[in-house]
Amino acid sequence: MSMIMPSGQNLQPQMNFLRPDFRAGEEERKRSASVMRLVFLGIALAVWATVGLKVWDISLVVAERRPDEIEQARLSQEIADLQAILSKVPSSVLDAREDLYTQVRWSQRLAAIKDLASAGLAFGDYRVEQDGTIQLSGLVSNPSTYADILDAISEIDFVTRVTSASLYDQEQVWRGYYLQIAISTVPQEEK
Amino acid sequence: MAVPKGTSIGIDLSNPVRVVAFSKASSQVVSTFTAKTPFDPGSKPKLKELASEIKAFCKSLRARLPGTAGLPMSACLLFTVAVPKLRKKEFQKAIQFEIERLVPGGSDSMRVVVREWPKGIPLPPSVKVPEGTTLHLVVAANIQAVLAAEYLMKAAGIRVSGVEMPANPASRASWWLWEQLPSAKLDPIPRNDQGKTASGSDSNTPVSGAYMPWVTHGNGALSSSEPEDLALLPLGDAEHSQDDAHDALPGANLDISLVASASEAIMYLSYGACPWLMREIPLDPDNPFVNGQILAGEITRSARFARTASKGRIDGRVTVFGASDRVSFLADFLHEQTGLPTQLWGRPVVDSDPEYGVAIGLALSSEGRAES
Repeated sequence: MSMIMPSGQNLQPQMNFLRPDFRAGEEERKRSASVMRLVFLGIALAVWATVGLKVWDISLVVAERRPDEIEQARLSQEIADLQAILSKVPSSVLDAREDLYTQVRWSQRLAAIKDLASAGLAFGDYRVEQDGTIQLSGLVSNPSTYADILDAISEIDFVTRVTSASLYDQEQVWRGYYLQIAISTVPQEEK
Repeated sequence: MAVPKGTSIGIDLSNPVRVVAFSKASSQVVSTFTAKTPFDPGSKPKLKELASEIKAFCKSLRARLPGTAGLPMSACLLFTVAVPKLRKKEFQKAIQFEIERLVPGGSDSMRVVVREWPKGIPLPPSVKVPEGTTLHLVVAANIQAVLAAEYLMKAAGIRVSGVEMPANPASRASWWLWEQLPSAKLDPIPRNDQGKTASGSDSNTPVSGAYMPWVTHGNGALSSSEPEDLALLPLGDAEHSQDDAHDALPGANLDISLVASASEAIMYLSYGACPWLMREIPLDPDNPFVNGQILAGEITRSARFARTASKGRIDGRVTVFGASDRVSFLADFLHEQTGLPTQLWGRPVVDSDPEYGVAIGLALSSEGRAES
C-alpha cells in the first residue's frame, strides 16, 4: 500500500456527537413518543375544529331560518295594516259594530241558562231571534226532570214565558231525549 | 479582558475539567481555567455548579464565544468495522450489534457517528477488510454524557458548536503542534532552498535539523541506524540524504498523543489528525520511572505495530499531555528510550501548560474539518 499523505492536510473526519449518524435507542424512542404526542394533538385539534365549525355553521343556518321571529314580524305588519284600514272606516260602520257588540251580550243570557245544567242535562245549540225569542236545544237523560227544567227556565229573570217546548226520544244516538225549547225574553235594557 | 478575533472555547471534561479560551488566528492562549467541581453526567446539582464555575470564567472574557466539549474516554467507544454495502436501516442494525458486542446493553444508550475510513490512511494490522466490504470508523458516546455536556455549555453561556470524543482533540492538538513546530523553532522566513513555507504546509517532508523524524523503511523492518546517522550528519549532508529518501519513498506522519494522568495514560495514535487506534495503559501513581519505562515500551510497540500496517515510510512523533509536574520529564525520557521525536505539549509553540493540550485541541475543532 502506498501512503502518500497530502502534506498540510488535516484528515480528521468531523465526529460531532451533536450531529450523530444514529441516535441512541432510548433517545429515538423518546423522540418518536413526543412526535406521536404531537400527531395525536394535531388530530384532536383538527377534529375539534371541524366539529366546532360545523356546529357554528348549523347555528348560523338556524338563526337565519328561525320561523317564529319571521312569523311575528309578518303578524305585526298585518296588524299594522288592519289598524290603518280601521282608522279609515266610516261612522255608520262603526255603529253597526256597536250593534254587534250588543248582540254579543246575549251570550250572557245563554250563560245564565246554561248555569241551569245539572247532571243528566246538557244544553246545545241556541238561536236568538230579532224579537228576543231564544230557541234552545239540549239533551236530557231522565225525562222526568223535563218539567223541572222548564220551571227553572221560566223562573230566570229575563224570561217572560216559555213559548214552546218539545221532547224527542233520541235513543239511536244517545240513550236520552232531545229537547227543544223556545222562550220569550224581555228586551235588553241597554238597547 | 479583550478577546482576540477567532477565539473559541475548549472544555476537556475528563476530570478535572479544564477550560481554555484559544485564538486560532493568533495561536494564542487567551485564558485557562481548571474547575473544582468534577464532571458527573448523572448529577444535576454538580453539573449546575460546574456550569456556574465555567460561566464565571466566560464572563471574565466578556464575549459570547463558540465552544466544543470533549467527553471523558470512559463515556466513549472507538472502533473499526468492515461492513458490506447495506441499506441505512440494516447498516444501523449492524453497527448496533457491534456496539452491543463490545458493551452489552450499550447500543440503546449511545449516539453513534460513523465515517468511512479515510483514503490514504493505512489500515490497522488487526483489521481484516474482506472483499466487497468497506471499513468504517465508528465512535459512540453515552447519550447521558453527551446531553450533560450540551447542557453544561448552554448553562455556561457558550455557543455550542460540538461535543467530541477525546481522541479527536488530542490527535488534532498533536498534529497542529507538529505542523507549527518547524517554523516556530526555526526562522519564520521561508527557506527558498527547500521550498518550505512558514505556515508549515509542507511539514511532512522532514527537512529541518531540529525536526528529525524517526524514519523507517520497508515492510516492518526497522532501520534503526538511519535516524541517528542523519542526526549526527552536518545539516547540509542531512538535507541531501533526506532529499534522496524523500525521492525514494514518501512518508506518513504517525502522531502518538499520550495523555497521562496519575493512574492511567491514554495513548491515541493518529495519521495526520485522523484517530487510528487508542490504548489505555494503567500506571502506578507512586513510581514515575517505571511508568516512563512502561510508556516507552508501549510507544515502541505501537510504532512497530503501525509500521507493519504499511510498506511505506512512517515518521512517528510523540506528544505528551498531562499535569506538568508529572509529565515534564517524560518527553526527554521517551525520546531517549524510543528514538522518536518527542514534544511536551505547549512551549515554545504555544504558551500553554501540557494539561491544557486536549482542551486546546477542542478549541481547534473548526480547523479539524476534513478537506475534501
